[in-house]
Amino acid sequence: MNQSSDDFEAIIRQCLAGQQAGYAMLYESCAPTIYRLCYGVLMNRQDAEDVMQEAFVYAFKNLRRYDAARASFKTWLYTIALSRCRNLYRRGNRWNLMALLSFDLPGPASEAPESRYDYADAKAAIENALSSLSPRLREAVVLRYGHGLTFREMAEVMDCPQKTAESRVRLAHDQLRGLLRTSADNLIESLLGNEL
Amino acid sequence: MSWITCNHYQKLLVAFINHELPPTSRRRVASHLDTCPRCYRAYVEQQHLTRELKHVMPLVGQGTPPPFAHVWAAAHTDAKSVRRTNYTLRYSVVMLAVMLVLLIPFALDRHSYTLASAPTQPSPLLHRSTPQFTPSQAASVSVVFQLNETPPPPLQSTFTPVLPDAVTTP
Repeated sequence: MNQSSDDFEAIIRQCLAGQQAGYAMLYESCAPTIYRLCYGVLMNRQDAEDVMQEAFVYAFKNLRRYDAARASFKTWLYTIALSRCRNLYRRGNRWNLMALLSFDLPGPASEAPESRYDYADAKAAIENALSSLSPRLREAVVLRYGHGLTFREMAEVMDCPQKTAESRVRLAHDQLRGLLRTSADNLIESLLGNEL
Repeated sequence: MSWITCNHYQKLLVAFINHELPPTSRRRVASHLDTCPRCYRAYVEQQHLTRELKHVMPLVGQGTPPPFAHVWAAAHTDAKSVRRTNYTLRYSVVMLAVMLVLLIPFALDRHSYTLASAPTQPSPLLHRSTPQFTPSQAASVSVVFQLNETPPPPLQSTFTPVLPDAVTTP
C-alpha cells in the first residue's frame, strides 16, 4: 500500500465508473497489507483469508461511502478489516481452542541451537508471544510495529482515544518484555543443558 | 516518592523511544534516565524490544493473499444473495397471510355473530297501568287497603284440625 492518496483517488474514481480493472488494482495494492493485518490480529491463516475477503467485499460494495476528507483510504480499509476481525473473535472464542491445539513441539536434534536462533526463530517467538496477548493489545502492537501507524492513526482505526492507544502499546510492551525474556531464559537454559 | 517518579517515567519510555513526546517531556525523561540506573535499564530493554518488534513484525503474516477472482466472485455472490433475501418483504407477506387466515371465519358467517350492545332500560309498564292519584286519593286508598286487609290468623298454641262433615265418624 505504497500509493499516495491521489493515486488511490484515481483508482477509486475508476472503480466508481464501473471498471473491474480499477477494483483489481485496488485489491492488488492493498491485499498483502490487509492480509498481514488480519493474520497479525487473528494468528490464523484461514481466518485471516476469510476476514480479508469479507473486508474487501464490504469495501467494494461501500466504496461510494468512502469520504477522502474524513480519513485516508488506508485508514478506512484498516478500520473495516479490524472491525471484521473483532466480529470474528466476538462471534466464537477460538482463542481457547487455539491454545488447546497449539503444541510446543521440539525442533530437530540435528540442528545446532545457535543456528536455529535466526529470524525465523525470532518470528516464531514473537508470534507465540503475540498469541498470548489479549486481542486489543495485539491489535495495538500489530498496527504500531507491523504497519508503522502513528498513535493518532491507531486511535482512528481502533476507535479509541489516542491516550488509550498509547497505553495499549505500553501495556503490550510490558507483557511482551516479560514473555520474550522468559523465552530467552528458556533458550539459554536449553543451550547450557545441551553443552552439559 | 522516587518509586512513583520512576513508575511515571517508565510509562513514558515507549513514547520516548518512538520520538513521540513533546520536547519538554523528552528533556525531562532524558535527564531522569541519566540519573536513575533502574530506569535506564528498563529503557535499554524497551529499546531492544522496540527494535526487535520493528524488524520482525513486518514479517508476521507474510504470505500470498487469495487471488482477486475469489474476492470478486464473493462480492458478486454477496450482492445477489442480498437481492434475493429481502427480509422485510418476506415477513410482511407472511404477516398478511396470517391475518387473512385469521379473518376468514369472520368473513364467512358474519351474520351469526351479534355484537354486544349496551343494555336498554325496560319501559315501566306497571307504572303506566296504575292510575294516577292525587295525594288525598292516595291516602284514602291506603285507608281502604288497611280496612280491606284480612288480618292474619292468630297463632294458637294447641292446634286442632277441623275435619269436614263427610269425614266425621257416624
